[in-house]
Amino acid sequence: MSLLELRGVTGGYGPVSVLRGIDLVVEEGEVAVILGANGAGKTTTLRAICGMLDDTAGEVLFDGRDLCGASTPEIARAGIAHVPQGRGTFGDLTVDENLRLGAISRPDPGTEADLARWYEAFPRLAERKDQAAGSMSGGEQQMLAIARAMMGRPRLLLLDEPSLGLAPLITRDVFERLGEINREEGLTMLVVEQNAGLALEIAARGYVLETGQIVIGGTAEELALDDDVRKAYLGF
Amino acid sequence: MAGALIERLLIRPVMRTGNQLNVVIVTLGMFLGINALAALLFIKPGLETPKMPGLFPTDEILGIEGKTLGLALLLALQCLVLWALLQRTKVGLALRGVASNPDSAALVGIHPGRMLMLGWGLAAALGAIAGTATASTAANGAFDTSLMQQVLVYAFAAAALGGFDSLLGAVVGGLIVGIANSLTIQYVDALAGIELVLPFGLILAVLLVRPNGLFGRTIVERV
Repeated sequence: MSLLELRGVTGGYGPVSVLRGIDLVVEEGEVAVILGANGAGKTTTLRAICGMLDDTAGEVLFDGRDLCGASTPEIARAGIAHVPQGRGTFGDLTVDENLRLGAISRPDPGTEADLARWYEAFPRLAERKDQAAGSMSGGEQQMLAIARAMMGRPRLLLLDEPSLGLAPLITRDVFERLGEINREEGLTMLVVEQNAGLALEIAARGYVLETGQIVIGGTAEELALDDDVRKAYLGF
Repeated sequence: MAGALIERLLIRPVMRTGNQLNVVIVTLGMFLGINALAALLFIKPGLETPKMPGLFPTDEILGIEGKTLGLALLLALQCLVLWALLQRTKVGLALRGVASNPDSAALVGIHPGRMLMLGWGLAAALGAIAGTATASTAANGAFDTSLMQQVLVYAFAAAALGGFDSLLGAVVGGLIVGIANSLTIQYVDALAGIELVLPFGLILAVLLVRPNGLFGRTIVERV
């Protein structure tokens, strides 16, 4: 059984429907990537999984359980972490408080150990422990958002354009860290990304979204070799 | 409890309109409505208005009036409890998370609605304490439906001065307004009888010069 499976998911914002029936699967332990132009519905797909749309229809099967219609906090507690576009840090709270909030929905034991672990993985965050999250650079905030998501010990991590607004070198760093977490923790990830080349490097599976529908789906190699994908998203 | 209920039934539907001014209007309406209701229930012609027993000792302690000392201690205790709750507990962290970023709070598994209810409940509890304290220190010790009207003006001036989103600002603003008020009553004869000019003047000045108050955050939208 796949860890995540979307069947005919539709949804949008108020009267505007964006998703016109999304079907996709993400297997346990793999990184999957969603590519697509601006406005294709990539962010909306992630928001639909997290119950953040006004109305979502279809099936969102997480570990066999249909989460469609559940509230965002319930879905988070079921084990899906979401790093939204623009990182979604608690800007006026400290780095330490941000990380503690990431673990707030799970029982206390282990929080301190996890905190130490993620400070070790991201030394920059340890240095800025008591600094307001909003005062850090974009790259540092992206690392913080990822570490905060990990504090909840999720089974599935959703990432919405982690490269947005970051310099190319820092983007590369972010993706290397994500690759590491995937290999070391075996954590399943679904990444929405404009930077197709980088995303396909760490991904096992890819989907191309166009005007609210999946038009191409396959392994990362198949996508990287697909003529249309290469022309539209890889630029060669 | 009542505060939480009010959030659920009245504030939440109004919040959905996305205009915070609407919430202010609704709370003002409730203030006037509940006041009028209280007058209807408790004040009848020929009936003596109920008296509030004094909460604090009337004699002087160390040369300070008992009720002044009592109020100061009450304030200090409230601040300490509120600070400990917000800064030292998980619930406090969750509350601050929702205040900082409701969407992200939901994404880490916090129910923003429940936290807002809790926040309104806390506010109502503090309001109840303030109301009891005011009633018990009022000059004639009698319930009066106009009791809180002056307090409301002073409290608003204090909040505007300190910054609406700052706890420290509320306390400091309150102290400044209080001291300024006592000093003007004592030394500025021109204001005799029209003391309320001071808080209104302060509100106006703060909104003109420093709309976020002394400790308020400046909200900067990054695009």
